[in-house]
Order: sequence, then structure tokens, then C-alpha cells
Amino acid sequence: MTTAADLEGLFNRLADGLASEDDEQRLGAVLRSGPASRRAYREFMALHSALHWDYVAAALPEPTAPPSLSHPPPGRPPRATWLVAFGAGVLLATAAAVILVLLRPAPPSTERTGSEQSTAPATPDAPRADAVAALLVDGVGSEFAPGRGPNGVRFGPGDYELVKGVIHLRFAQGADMVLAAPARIEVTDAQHTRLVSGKVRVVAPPTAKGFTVATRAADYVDLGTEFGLRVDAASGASDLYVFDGQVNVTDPQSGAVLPVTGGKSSRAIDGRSAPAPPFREGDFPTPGSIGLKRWEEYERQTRADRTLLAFYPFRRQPDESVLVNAVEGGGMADGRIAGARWTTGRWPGKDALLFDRDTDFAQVAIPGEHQELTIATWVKVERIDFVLNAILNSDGAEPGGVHLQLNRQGFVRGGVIVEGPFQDTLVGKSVPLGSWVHVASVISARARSQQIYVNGALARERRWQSGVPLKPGQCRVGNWLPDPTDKFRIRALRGQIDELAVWGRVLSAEEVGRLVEAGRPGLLWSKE
Amino acid sequence: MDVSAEFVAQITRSQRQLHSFILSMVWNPAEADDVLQETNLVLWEKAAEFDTDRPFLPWAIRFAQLQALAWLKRRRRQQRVVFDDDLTRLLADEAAREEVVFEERRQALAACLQKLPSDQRDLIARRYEPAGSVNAMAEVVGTTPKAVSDRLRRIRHALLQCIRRQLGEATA
Repeated sequence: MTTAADLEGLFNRLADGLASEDDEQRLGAVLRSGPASRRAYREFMALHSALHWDYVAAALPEPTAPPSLSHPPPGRPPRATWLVAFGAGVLLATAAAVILVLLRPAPPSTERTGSEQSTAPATPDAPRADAVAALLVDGVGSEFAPGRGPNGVRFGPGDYELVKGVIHLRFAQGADMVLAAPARIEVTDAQHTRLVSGKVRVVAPPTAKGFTVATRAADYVDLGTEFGLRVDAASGASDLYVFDGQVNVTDPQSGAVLPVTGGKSSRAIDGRSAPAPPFREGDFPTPGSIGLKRWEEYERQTRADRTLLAFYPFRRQPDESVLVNAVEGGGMADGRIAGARWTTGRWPGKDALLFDRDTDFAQVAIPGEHQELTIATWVKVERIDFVLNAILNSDGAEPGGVHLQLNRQGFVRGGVIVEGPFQDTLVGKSVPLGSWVHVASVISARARSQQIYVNGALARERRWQSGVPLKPGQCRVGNWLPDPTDKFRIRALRGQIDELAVWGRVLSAEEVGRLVEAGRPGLLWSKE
Repeated sequence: MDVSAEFVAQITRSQRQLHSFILSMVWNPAEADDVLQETNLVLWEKAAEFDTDRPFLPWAIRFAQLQALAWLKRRRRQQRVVFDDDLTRLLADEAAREEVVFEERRQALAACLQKLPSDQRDLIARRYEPAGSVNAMAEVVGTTPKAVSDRLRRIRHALLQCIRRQLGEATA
């Protein structure tokens, strides 16, 4: 027999988020057992509700003015004010005030589990200071309005206004959002954002199904797809372009749902739908386009450096055997591609050369004698097949020739071909396989030393005694034209290269670090 | 949208009862807030269909019932197993008949809260403050959530008893 105390124990566990599955099953039986049990349950829940109502209302400041349809400040979602409005019995003097309250944009419900504790910090009422809804993955030229920017790369619940540039956000459940200035968003949580004005591209994987972008005109619920959304600040019109999958356009007032599928578009304005203007390519930047744009800016600035001998941007030409040197007057010519094939580099739209056969290489020439050289490149090594694996090696083994290669363990090594002994100091990490890595070799014949940097960190240092000027001459990228007497004759690279720069001077560690920052594949890319 | 002052007054008056009913299905007060807001929007949409000659609460609670069920379904919540359509309708019908007594109990609660010892009032305040939970409280004082819940159970029991006494009901 179930006593009153048993029932209260059960109701308490439910209220405090401590109920087991058995408890829940039992509740069903209890509630069906008769009106007395249901009455006890109703009385308990009325108490639970009243305490929440009174204490939440008491804990929140009363609004000084009727809530408006304008944007709530970060951390003060509409529901809090709404509760106060009703709980404290204010704001109800006129129908107009209630209309404002009722028509406030409904805050999206936060996904919660049965345990209040596990989810309490995610409730819109109390965003924790360290709550992170999304991370800044990448950006180019981005500037935010004062007080409306992220905390570093972290986007918690709040109001953000991008005044310049393009950014790429990744939300905690996997949705990607690319925002182009000028744009303003209000992040509620990992699955809900309001687009106040501007345009976004959203790519939502299955884990982010239900990702919702609300606008003044409608709620856009992503069902695992890719779409572009634009809000015109003046008219309030929202234009949706679904590139793939399906987006459900929901009228927040009526609850009416309009499914829009891949290739289709829709405009929502003043509670009705209309044809959207024609889609224009480039209206909604892709995540990859940000990195490419950033790199193009870097390339433009780098090419202005008068100390550059060559900058090979690895841009595919109509004559695919030409490796263009974008620097004129540096004394180095275009390179020639033999075997290596064009593929995609660090970002979509960025070309790279793929080296995956023993005979693949690109030939470049670094003529003349030099006291100082810096050779820097972005490389993605897929596999290490040989004792030595060339990134850039002078042909043969003539004195003054330069080598830059990986050993079997993935450590970068090389230097200048000199007579006499040299000392290598291994200080850094090896090159990880399968990800883009920046490798820079800084050589000084004057100081008789070389530093190799991997992702901006010093990885190896070499010192030698004899004085030989640097004479790289003809070099192979991704391979080596062997000296006939050498025992490790095959040094073919297995991977990709998408940038190569040669300076006639030594670069400082800080300068190398800046190259890494400028060319990093994305902001979340790890140097480790 | 032509909405009468009477409708405005009715929807305002019924907020707590609607919340209480929704809470009996979703259990988490903050989640009940969300469902209540959704319900309010629907009620607003349906305002023109409301017959002012009929009682408001039974009409409104029906929408709360539908919104709560839809919410549980969207959230794939376990409660769907407990609250089928029949049971939900039974709870809604019974709740709608208790409008007067609901308000009397609410007023009694206010008096009973005043009678609580201050440490118990503090405990209730911390449990029901925004984002308050037994787990968070247990962490703060270094005990188990169950121990906190047990203390709350005793306080809630005292409050329920006090309300009954206030209303002159027989204690259980």
C-alpha cells in the first residue's frame, strides 16, 4: 500500500530531478489509481510551481518599463522579464502592455534532461560566465562593435555585432555559421541564434539537426542541411536559400510550418511568404572562403617584401606544368612541374601539388651564391616511405647545396652541404602526418648555422665549421636528383605542398611565427 | 488583432494555474516556463475563438495540455510514457475544476512561508532561485543531492500541512 509519505517522497524526487525510471513508471500507476492520488499530486505540483514562481520573481529585478520587441541585453532573455511581468502582477494595466509581452519573440527552449543540475547552467535564465555556445573557427578582417564582440574565440549567450570582415563560428553541437559584415546576431545557446540583421550561411551536420536561426519574420529550423539566410534591417524581410537538405520555416505566431528544400528559396515578410530575390553567387561566403581570403591578403602583402627571391603561390595555370613565381626581380624564374599533380590545398579554391609517386617533383632554381637564405613552405605529409623524404633538395651533392627533408621518424633535417663536421641539436617535435604543417629553414653561411622551425617552433639547430657560401642552384621540390654514390637515392615525398617562399636573408623566429599565423588553415588548427 | 480587456484579464489570471498544470507534466519549473510561453502564444492566436460566456480556464488548459504533450514529444522525454492522452485529459479536467481552491491555497502558502524558520526559508530560496538545483546546493555544502532533497521534502511537507491547516482541511 502506498502511504501519503511514500507519495510525497516520489513527488519530491520528481521535482528535484532525482527520480529513477521506476519512479516514473510508478507515477503513472499512482495517478491512474484514483482521484485522491491525483489531488495530492496536483497540490504538490502547485506548491512546486508557486515556490518557483515566487522565488524566481523575487530574485529578478522588476522591469522599469514594459518589455519591448527590441533586443534583450545578453544574459537577460525575454522569459525572465516575462515571468516577472506576470509573477509580480505588473504590466497588465492595459491590453497594449500585454500585447507586447505576448508577442515578444519566444526564447527557444533549451534541451534539458531529467536532471535539473546537469542542465541548469544552460537555462537561458542564468548563462554562466564561462558558458560557450560557439567558437570562432576562422575569420578575415573581422571587427566587432564595442562591447559586442566575443571573449577571445568564445561566443557565449549574448549579442554580437560584426562591423567588418567575415567570421566562421562552430556551435557546440556541430553547426557551422559563416557571418559576413555587417551583421548582428544574438546567440542563445548551441542550437539557437537570432539573426537580427545581415547574412549567414549555415551548415548543420546531423548532430546539430534542429539548429534554429530566428529572425523577426520567422524561425528557420535546420534539418541537417546547408542554407543561406539574409535579414534586411530596414524592411525586416528574411530571405532563405536552401542549398541542400530541408529547412522548416516556422511562423512564430501561428506555428505554421513551410518546408523549403534544396535549391528552393523563400522570403518571409510581415507574417507572409513571398518569392525571394534571385540568388547571387558570393552572397553567402563559405567556411573555406575565409581562409582563402585571408591567405590572398597575406600573399599580396608578402609579395611586396623586397628581400623575397621567390614566392610560389602554387596556383594552377592553363599550362599545368608551370609553377609560377609571383615575385618579379628576385632573380628566380618560374618552376617546372614533372609528374606532380594539381589538387586542393589548405582551403577550397587554393591549389596544391600532390607528390605520391617516386618520380613526382617540381624543379626550381635558386641561382647565385648567398650568405643567407630562408626557405619556408606549407606541406601536408601523408606517409613516410623512405629513410629520407625530400621537401626541397638541391640536385646532387655539391658543396653549398641545401637540403630540407624528413627522416623516417618525421623529424625535419637538412642544411648545407659542407666539408667537415657539423653538430645537430634536436630540440623540437616531428611533423605530424595528415595535417598541414609550416616548415621553415633559416640558413646563415655567415653564422655557419641553420634553424629549422616546424609550425613556428624551433625543431632543430645545426652548426658547422667550414665556410662555404650557399649555392642551392637547381632544386627539386618533393624529391631529390640523387648523387650516384648516395645510398639513400629515393627520397620521394608522399604528400602535398601548397606554398613555397625563398628569402635572401634570415628570418627571425618572430617573423616565422607570423608566417604560421597568416597561413594557418583555420583558427582551431593546432600547431601541435 | 482585436482582443478584449476581458480576455487580457483572463489570460493574466490563469498564468499560475497553467504553469502548475504544465509543471505536473514536465516537472522542471524552468521548462514549464517555456511551455507556458508557447501556450500563451497559442492562446493569443486563438483569442477570437474564445467564447466569453464560457469559463476561461478549461478552454485554456486544453491548449496547455496540447503544448505540454507536443513539448514532451519534441524533447523525446520519458514522461510521454506516463502521460498518455487519457491521463493528461483527466489531470487537465480536474485542475480546471479547482480554480477557486487553487487561489485560496496560493494565498495560504504566502502565510505559511512567513512561518517557516529562516534557515528553511533560505533553503527554499536557494532551491528555487534561477538555476538553483539540489545538485548545485549539495556541491556547495559538500553533501549528497539526496540529502538536500530530503531536507526540502520535510519543508515542503510542512508547507503542505500548513496550507491544509490554513484552509481548515483535515490533515492527512
